[in-house]
Amino acid sequence: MTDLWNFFVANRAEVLDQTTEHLGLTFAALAIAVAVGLPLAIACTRYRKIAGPTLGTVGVIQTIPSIALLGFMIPLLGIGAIPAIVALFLYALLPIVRNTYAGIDEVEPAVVEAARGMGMTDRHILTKVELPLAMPVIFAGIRTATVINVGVATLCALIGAGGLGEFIFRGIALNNSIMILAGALPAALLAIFFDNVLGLMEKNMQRLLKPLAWGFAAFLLTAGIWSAASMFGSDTFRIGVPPEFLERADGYPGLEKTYNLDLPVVEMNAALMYEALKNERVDVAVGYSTDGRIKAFDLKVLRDDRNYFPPYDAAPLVRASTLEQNQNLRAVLNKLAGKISTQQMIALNNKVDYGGQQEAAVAEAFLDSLGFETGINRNGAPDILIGGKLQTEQYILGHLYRLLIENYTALDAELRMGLAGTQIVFSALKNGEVDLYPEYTGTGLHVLLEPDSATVARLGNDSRRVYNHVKQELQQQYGLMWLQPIGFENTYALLMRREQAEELGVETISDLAKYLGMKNVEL
Amino acid sequence: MIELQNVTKIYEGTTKAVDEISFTVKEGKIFGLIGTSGCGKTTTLKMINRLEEPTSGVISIAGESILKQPPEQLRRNIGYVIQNVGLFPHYSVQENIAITPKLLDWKTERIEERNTELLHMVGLDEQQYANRKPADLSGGQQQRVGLARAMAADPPVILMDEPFGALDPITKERIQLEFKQLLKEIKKTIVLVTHDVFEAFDLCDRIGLMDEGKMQQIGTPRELLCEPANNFVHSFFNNHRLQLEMMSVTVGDILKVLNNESDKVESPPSKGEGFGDSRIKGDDRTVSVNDSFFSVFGDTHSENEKCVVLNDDGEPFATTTADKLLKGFQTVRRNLKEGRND
Repeated sequence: MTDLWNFFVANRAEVLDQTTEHLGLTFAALAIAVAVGLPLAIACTRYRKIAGPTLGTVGVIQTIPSIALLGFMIPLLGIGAIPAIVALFLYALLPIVRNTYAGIDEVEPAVVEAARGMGMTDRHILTKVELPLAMPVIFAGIRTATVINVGVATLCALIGAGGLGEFIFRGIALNNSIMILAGALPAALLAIFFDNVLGLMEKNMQRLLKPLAWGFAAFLLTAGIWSAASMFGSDTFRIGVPPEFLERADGYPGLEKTYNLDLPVVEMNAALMYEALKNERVDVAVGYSTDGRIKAFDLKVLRDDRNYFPPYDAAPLVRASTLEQNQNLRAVLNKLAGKISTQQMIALNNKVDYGGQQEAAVAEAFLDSLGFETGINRNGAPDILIGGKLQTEQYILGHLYRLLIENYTALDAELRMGLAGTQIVFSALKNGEVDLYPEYTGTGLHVLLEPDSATVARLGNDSRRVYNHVKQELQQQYGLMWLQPIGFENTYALLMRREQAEELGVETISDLAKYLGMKNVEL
Repeated sequence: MIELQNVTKIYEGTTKAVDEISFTVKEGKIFGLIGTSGCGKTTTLKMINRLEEPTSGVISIAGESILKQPPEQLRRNIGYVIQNVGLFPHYSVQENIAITPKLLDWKTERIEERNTELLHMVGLDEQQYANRKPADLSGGQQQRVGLARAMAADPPVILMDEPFGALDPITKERIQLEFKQLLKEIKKTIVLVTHDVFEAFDLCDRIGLMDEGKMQQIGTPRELLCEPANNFVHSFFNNHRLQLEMMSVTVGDILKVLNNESDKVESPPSKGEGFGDSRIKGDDRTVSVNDSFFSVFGDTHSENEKCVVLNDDGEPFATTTADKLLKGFQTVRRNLKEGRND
């Protein structure tokens, strides 16, 4: 509890920022949903033929899992606030349309008939009879939509729209429950707060009707305009950073210090980074050097001229006990040692990310090309569980090891992939929930071991020394074995669009820092 | 005042809901539309204020086609009372009553004045009820407000669709009685739709009986009862014939018969013979020549009870007893039957 409090105090500016972003997203979407949903529902009550299809459509939208909906938005609208607001808007639509329709539909027919019989026009009937009588139900819909939006908005951090989800996803990636709570708690409190406030308004609806309706409309409008303005008004030079990188010892804070970088950070899912950079949502992105999209999107890797990043040689990290129980296993896993160069890994990733092939098929074809057996595919109870992070490369490596194990031992291997961060895979390995996973030496050094700066300085940039250090330490501290390196290195890389980098004359990270310094002076 | 000529309504893909209906309602008269459910009586009513548009035919009010003005304008000058009242639940009693005056842009003072007048007219205490919401009123009180609302802008024409249909029998009877009194006073031209033949006989000057969209017969209650145009009309009243006959025969009708026979009423009255109010004793009943036999008979305590009959001007006119009235009614009834058999 005190930890959480300390976290809030230490990060109050960021908490405040994220909360404002969160509310901005929520209410911008809500304002649009009300503006679109109300007339749509009213039209449904007037033209009954469109009511069924309309309600059906908004209902179906609601059933799309929120993560999937956000995913669908990326090819259409890219990343950032706009696709997030569109997704939230679509979610808010159902409760608003359905309640408005039901509210008006439930107005006693006798009342409407009497109104018409007394000489009220259609507009009178709508504004003086139907809407006022339906208002409690409509408001209940808005209330539901608000609570849904506050919840779903946490997911919008996935597509770089900010909000309290940033803490949550970063917390998940780092297996840091305090950080998860720091995002989840304010989000929950916001939901409860709005639920109660709107509930209170709903109860006193009759009395508050007019001031409330206007007040709420004004609030939504200002919230919508304000958030729109704050989200689209900037054309600054921005860097996209994945959540984990923001907190790692070899991550952004150190990078910022080493190169004296000064530019606004947009936190977003690592998988979306390349798309975001390509679509000019950000101008610099932190990616992985082996990712196939660097080539496909014509991105430039800025040279790490101050050698900030440690070596990141890939090698399988295996539980010692697993190796002891299965005599043959070490030799089988080492069959891949030195077999994949960095260029080859990029090509393999590219086949999946860009070529649309399945990871398993790519892995099998690669092993075939090296002359390995790949005929056996076991599907029984697994003897060996292979873990992996949420990266294409890890999936491919996982399948490579699975095929080797099943074809060269009597064991049955199975994948446990897509774990959302280094800390999560690592603790799964420590606890025996997986038996091995592919890890990178630099990550092992900075994330798993967290050495003091003297050790880091002593090891420097030497692949051999870093490998030996992590091998020794992880065996001693956790009983985990680093097997032989696979051959390629997957380092963190600062990426820019090639065209822009060349235009600005940026080759190295220092060049970037220099350019930013000049730009800031100009401003 | 209200005239329908060959009015027909055909809903898409169905048979004729209303088929060539024509009738006229004179100013200040109450016209009843009765018939089985689905006979087209409500549709006919709704065509008068254009809640439904006729497929063919002409409807005019005060000699002018109702198509001459926009429907909203037309409706503001026609009172409309429906079975479920349709009070606005979010409006207070006085706000409900003020709806049409506000649509007509009346001044606030005039609306307030009219409110007071109307609440008094329908027998609701202004202090107590003006600011209540409909939910806080009984069914009978709601119907009173409904009537007040229909009369708010003092329309010359009022349309009523089963106005007492949702009330319990006791409330219904009391309100019907009050309304009858009220309607006499306000002298509105009224079209009343009901499935309750007693209500129609009690309130209406003339009645149109409909079946399957067609008008079967139009006439006074007595004409419908005694001179049915066809078998449908005859059989429609069969179940309630005796009571309806009692309702449609007036004390005056009976007195005529009694005078024709040897069994004369005592002291046929004539002015100036000292037959003043002094002749009415404290425990004598007074009845009007226009009262139906049903209403007199229903209140009779003993067969020898003495009744003083008052004429149209409220002057004592004759004295008789309940017993004699009953005998006279039987004669009238017999005559009616024979007249029909002729």
